[in-house]
Amino acid sequence: MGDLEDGVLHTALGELNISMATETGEGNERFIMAHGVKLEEKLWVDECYLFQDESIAPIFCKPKLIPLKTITTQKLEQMQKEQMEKLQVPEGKEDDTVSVESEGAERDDAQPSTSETKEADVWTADD
Amino acid sequence: MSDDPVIEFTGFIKACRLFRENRLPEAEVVCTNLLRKNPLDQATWALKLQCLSDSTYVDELENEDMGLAETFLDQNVIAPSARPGTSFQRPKTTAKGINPILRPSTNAGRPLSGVVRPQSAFKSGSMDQAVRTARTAKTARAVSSTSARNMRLGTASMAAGADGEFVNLARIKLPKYAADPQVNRQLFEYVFYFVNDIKVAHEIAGIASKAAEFEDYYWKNQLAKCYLRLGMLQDATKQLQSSLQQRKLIETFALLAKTYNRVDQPMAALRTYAEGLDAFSEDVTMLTGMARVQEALGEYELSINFYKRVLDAQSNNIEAIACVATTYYYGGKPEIALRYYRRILQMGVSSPELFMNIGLCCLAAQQFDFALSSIIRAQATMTEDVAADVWYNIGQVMVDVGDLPSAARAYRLALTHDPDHSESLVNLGILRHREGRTDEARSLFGSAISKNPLMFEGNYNLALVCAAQGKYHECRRLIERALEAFPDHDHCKRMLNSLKPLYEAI
Amino acid sequence: MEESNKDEIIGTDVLPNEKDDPQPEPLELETKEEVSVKPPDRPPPKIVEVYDCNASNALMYQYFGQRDYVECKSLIGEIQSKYNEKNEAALHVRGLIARNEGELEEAMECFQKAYEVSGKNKRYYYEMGRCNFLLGRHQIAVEQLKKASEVMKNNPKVWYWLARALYHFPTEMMNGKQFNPVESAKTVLMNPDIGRDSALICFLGRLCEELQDTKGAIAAYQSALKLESDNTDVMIRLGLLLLRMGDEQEGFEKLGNCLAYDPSNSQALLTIGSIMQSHFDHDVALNKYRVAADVCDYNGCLWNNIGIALLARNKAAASHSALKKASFINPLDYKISYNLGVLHDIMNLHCSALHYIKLCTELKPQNAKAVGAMAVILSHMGDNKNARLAYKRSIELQPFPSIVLNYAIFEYRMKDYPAVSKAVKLYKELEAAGSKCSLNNKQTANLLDAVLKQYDQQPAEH
Repeated sequence: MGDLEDGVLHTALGELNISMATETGEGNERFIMAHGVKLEEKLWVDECYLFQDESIAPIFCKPKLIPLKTITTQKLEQMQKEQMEKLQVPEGKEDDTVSVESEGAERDDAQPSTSETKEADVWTADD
Repeated sequence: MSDDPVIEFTGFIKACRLFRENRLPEAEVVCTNLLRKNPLDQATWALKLQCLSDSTYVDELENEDMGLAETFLDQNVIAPSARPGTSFQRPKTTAKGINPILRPSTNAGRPLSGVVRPQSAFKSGSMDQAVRTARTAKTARAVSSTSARNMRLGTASMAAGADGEFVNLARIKLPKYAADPQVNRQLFEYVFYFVNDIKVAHEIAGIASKAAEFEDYYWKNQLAKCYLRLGMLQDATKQLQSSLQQRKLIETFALLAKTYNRVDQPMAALRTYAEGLDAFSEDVTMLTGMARVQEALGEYELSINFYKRVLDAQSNNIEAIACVATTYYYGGKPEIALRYYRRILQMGVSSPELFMNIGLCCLAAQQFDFALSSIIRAQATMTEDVAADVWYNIGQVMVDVGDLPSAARAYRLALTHDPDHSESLVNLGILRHREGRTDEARSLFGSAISKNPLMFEGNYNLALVCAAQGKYHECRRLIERALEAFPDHDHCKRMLNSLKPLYEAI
Repeated sequence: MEESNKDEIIGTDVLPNEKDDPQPEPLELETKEEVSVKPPDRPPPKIVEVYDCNASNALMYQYFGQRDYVECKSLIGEIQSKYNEKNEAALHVRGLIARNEGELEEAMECFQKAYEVSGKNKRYYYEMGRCNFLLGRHQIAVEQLKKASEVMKNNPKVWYWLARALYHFPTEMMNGKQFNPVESAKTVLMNPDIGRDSALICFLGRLCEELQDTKGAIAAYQSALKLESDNTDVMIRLGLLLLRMGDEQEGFEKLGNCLAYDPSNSQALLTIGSIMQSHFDHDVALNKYRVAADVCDYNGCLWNNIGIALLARNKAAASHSALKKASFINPLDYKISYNLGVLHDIMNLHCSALHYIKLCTELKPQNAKAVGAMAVILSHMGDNKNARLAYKRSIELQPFPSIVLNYAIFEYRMKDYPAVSKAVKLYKELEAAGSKCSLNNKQTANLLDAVLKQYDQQPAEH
């Protein structure tokens, strides 16, 4: 190690101009020259983490690429929606007079559950 | 504007022109008026039948909805314990390549595909579980014997015009009309597609076929369609094969292969498609069919090859593009998947699912800025039925960034849209487990498993929690179920090996 | 008259006269002959037939040993119906079969019956205790096993199961001091007059490990290996423990042993590969990893190591896909994200690198290495102010030699020479204190030294 240092010192005197160049150079260079060797900030590979043993960890569900809808499925859904609408209108007219109460009761029963889902409390206190 | 006399069509010609221009409701109105004036006009009658059936026409090849009874009381199963790779019930899942860890599966236990498949022919869980599945769940099957979709389509006839039912099927003289080659095709299509009365349609087709002295391939095909709907698959096969001998048609090959699919004979289906390809080289339907079968069997490499051939023949086939993209994404090549999805975007499709997928691919390919804008767009335009999946993926993005509280919130939002979303439940459980809230984690995993008993991750994670708490018996059961989903999983096998001595040591 | 197995007559009152086949005729003949000898008021000797319900026991055990549970169960069924469920051994075996097949409730019923039939023999508490242990009812299990241990003093297994059940007790305050279940389990097993059993010793080793008693653990594992020299599980545990203690040579040997018995054991392959990598022998490590990946290619830790090995051989693209796969499988592992950050920085993709390092700091806060890495990336991106802050924070948290040197180079670029010399001095202190400094670090330090000296000389010359 001592020899290396001596050698470095000897060449240092010879390469004075190079080190002067870095001083006058722009400060945006990534590296500094020192006796012909580039010195730069570097992340070394041998500092990377290696696994010596595997811990048994829970397995995540992976990101899900949502399946697209083909033309057929889209058309079917649209047809179904239209038919439902067509059916709803005459049904609605009929049911207006008959069994309004039962519908109302149904709606009341349905409402708590739907209102639950709509107003689901996502922001809990411990977040 | 010149003063040329404007030619106005009236009468039957007008109806025909409107029909040709695909303005079906107007054509129907014209026909109805003509029939009021002259109820015995057969031509107009036939035209009106055609209009009505065309407006509700769904390609039988795509229509794969099976009701509850057909799924569970199926007597067509030929090989209950088939070799892996020869039956849809047992696709190939190997340690190398695609397995449930690297590629997620749907609720029905199938690996995720690029497009929504209307097929629901797989028995996952027991019958009462299927009955318990809510009708509004995304992957529910019809809780009835006849397919709900067919029932819904059948309501079209009930909602027909104020005249009530157009053709009174009970009183029509079927032998007379069915034998008449001028009207029988329209009548059949009307009954089959619009009214959905398969029995009558079958009668018509039978009479027509006899009248044509069993030489007409068209009627054999239609008979086969009826048999398929009625579930009489052997007869369907017979009809189709004799039709093929008469004349080779794409439709015939495709229907025959579909029949084999129903009977869980994928090899026979593949053979049929191959014959069809011999007759019609590079036909899109045949190639798509083969690709779908290979995908269902778990052979993703072969499936991609077929889809690529489809794309060579028809570059804008969305199904092919989406399936190829999905396989590349899960194979670890998100940049290529991104290219394919961008292709779909260039075709003008702009659904929220597409944007979400593009966002996921960009994130995996480290194009963070584009990923963010795509995901925001997806979230802004999402509809109710995909909202749960969109929020779930947003949660995944949060996990990738490291923002775990936001990820938990996103998963909970997903759960508000769909309380059965098992992936969100599992991931939320893992996050809770990390925080140390083991009981909450247990209940989340438990509900995920109850909604989707075949899911590998849920069973495995709950087994880990049980083992840490010392509940070895429950752990063993869960590991066994996890192994059903993924038979070669190394860690599961190891855990089972370490559990067995606990039981069997003297 | 049946010949009876003298030692195996069981049941006290099961020589019922009702079960006789009374054979009056020969009896009378006998008495007629000997009538002159016998006194008249002695009752005629009855002929008693002794049923040995244990006659088929040997067969039953044989079936059980052969794991032929179907035959065994049917034989047991016969025995039970013939002897009215009084055969204790049959009940025992039936319970064992039920437990092996996973029917714990049924097993417990059988053992309960056996217990009663045998005259309240406490050894059946052993079996019942084990069933409760499997079901997770540890309190009950411990009580039952304690009762069993009173009668089964020579059986080491009792203590083993007792310790295992105790291990799962929750830690709580009892009698004024902390009740540490692991401690109590260990004390149970350290009882010197228990026999030697390999599973027991292995469990003792695990407990010692958890209690940080590494010497005890090593001793335990080694004695377990003496009993069972091909137990790969114990070998791996021992190897890992030795490695953690710094005894690399021994650990390597043990793992090599393990691989000799089971060449595709992915755990051992992973560990050996990582040891080789830390000695810069990347090619051999990659070969080993290839074998392991054949068995199981969804192991995130394995892919991580593969990625680093490839990176060390300058194959950045292959390393990239390996590390991405590892991250896909284990998204919440800070080590993998750190490695991904390093990789991207080497590939000059600084934004991505920053993203991954940030993920690492979110997953493991206060990690000096990660903050230091972030500083390097920021400096590469030109954000000098934040880079300086990051460097300072990292050194504050825990100074690592390479980070200190990087800081020195950074300050040299910023022309803050006093800071540079301070940093180099800090590095020298670290080196003297024994921190692990790689060759690169030493070279860098020397070069910095030379440059500093040069700078010191220059103003003097001017």
